[in-house]
Amino acid sequence: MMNSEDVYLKIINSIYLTLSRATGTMPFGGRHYLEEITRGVGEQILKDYGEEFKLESTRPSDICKAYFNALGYLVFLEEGAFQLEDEGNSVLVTMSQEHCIYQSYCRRAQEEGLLFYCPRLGALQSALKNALGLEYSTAVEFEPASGVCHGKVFPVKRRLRTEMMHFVDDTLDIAGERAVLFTKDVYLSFLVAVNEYAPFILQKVLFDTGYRSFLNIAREAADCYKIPEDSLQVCFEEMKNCGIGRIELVSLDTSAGHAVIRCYQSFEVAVVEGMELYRTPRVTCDLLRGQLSACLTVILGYPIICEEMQCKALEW
Amino acid sequence: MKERGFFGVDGLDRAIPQGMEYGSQILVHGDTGVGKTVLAGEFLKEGLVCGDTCIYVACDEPPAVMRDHLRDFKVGVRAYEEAGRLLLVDAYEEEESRERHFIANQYSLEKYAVLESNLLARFADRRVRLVVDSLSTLLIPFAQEEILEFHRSRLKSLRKKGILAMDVFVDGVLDRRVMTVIGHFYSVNVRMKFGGPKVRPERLIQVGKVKSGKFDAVPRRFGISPVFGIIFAPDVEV
Repeated sequence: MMNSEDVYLKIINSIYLTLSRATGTMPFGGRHYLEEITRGVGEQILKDYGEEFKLESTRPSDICKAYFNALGYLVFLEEGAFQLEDEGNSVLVTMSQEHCIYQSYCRRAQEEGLLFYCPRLGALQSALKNALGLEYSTAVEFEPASGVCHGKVFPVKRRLRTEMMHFVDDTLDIAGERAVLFTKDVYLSFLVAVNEYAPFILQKVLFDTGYRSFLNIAREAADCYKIPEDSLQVCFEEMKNCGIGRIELVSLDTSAGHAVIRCYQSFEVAVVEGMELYRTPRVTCDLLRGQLSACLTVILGYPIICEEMQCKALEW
Repeated sequence: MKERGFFGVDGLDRAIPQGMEYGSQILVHGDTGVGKTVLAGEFLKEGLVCGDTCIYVACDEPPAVMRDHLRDFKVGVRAYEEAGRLLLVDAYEEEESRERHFIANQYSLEKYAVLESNLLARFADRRVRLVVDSLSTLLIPFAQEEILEFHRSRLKSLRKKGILAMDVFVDGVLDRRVMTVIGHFYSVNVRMKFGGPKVRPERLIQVGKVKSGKFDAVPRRFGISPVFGIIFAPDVEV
């Protein structure tokens, strides 16, 4: 028969596992919400038990140590099981998994390939945010042979806009901007209406809309990362979160200004499927072309026009 | 059902609702500056988004002019050229050409036909659009019989190969009788001209013929927008 502590552990691990499963299927910011939960738990503990959280230094590792000192008596932190090392504004954390109360959740999440944020690192993340007022994130790798987890708590350069989706009173808000969700029927109605009244502007309107709507996102991504591929990846994630499709960078030659990009499950293909919007079969992802053109133009620093050279939905 | 192609200009395409079979030949003729090359550009753009391989033979200006023209309309010319989907052939600069594809020594129509045929043979497995702009320039030095014979054999060959071809002619360059006969060889005739009051001339376009097909022959006004290209006024009859 299980004792009550085992039952509590089982429940806590089940809650986290269920959250990982649920947030993985959430549109927009599943990753963000899961991280907010793990960090938020740490923050709540800090609020409830952190009267002794006194900082003597602003070094990240010292902040983490102050947190342990304040809350070290709590079982879930297992004072002494952590080794901390500064790496710039980040903290490298080496943790023994032997007595980790979250190990069942951690293992199952890895087995199932779920979104995962280590709750123990989440506690340190909340301490760093509380002390420095900066957004931090966490990453962890488990080394089965040694039973040691190698974690990192690091400052976040930029959160995906599409992860920052909230209801503010009665309005939907994405990263401070009022937003609305359209289904494909609404979008198609828009296309049909434009095509009916001014067919010659349709392609151009879609391209320009895509281009303009991604200029700021591309600028932010370019400011955050030195490597163009990393900046592009951020843009691609924003596109995916918006429902445009999964974008893959096949190759990039920055000096030649040449990139090969694939889009899987394109929204723009799905929208016109079975519709006779155009007289002849043709490539239709003009919004995406505009978005990608803006991203490449900003990130590579010279004008780029993307063309859709092949489409699996067409037989050529 | 056979594949059909369109011009890519909505109002004009509505005048030929069934479209044009690949293997059709289009004669576009009209006044200087009326927009024949712009129409050729629209035809190429339409071909590119529909998956065609587009070949443009530039006779009156260097191909760079069409390249810039397409770029102005935000066509990713380089991507298409690198993929071999857009070929700009220089028949203007001759030996001095820096283009990858050029046609020199145009002293013989027979030789031109062979060069064109060789070029097309490279894309035998693809759906091809060919634009010669303007063919009338190439034909200036030649005698009437030679011109007619050249047309007969060349258009027959293009039809067999399934090429959707557009030949551009500048009005007034060739003899009127020659143009009348040549017009009979083509599947589709499109006339572009200036009309209306001289102080404020209007651009007009008219489908003059579609072999074995329905068409709307009413001349219609059109304009050329630097952003959208040819804008047809479908509801404005002259």
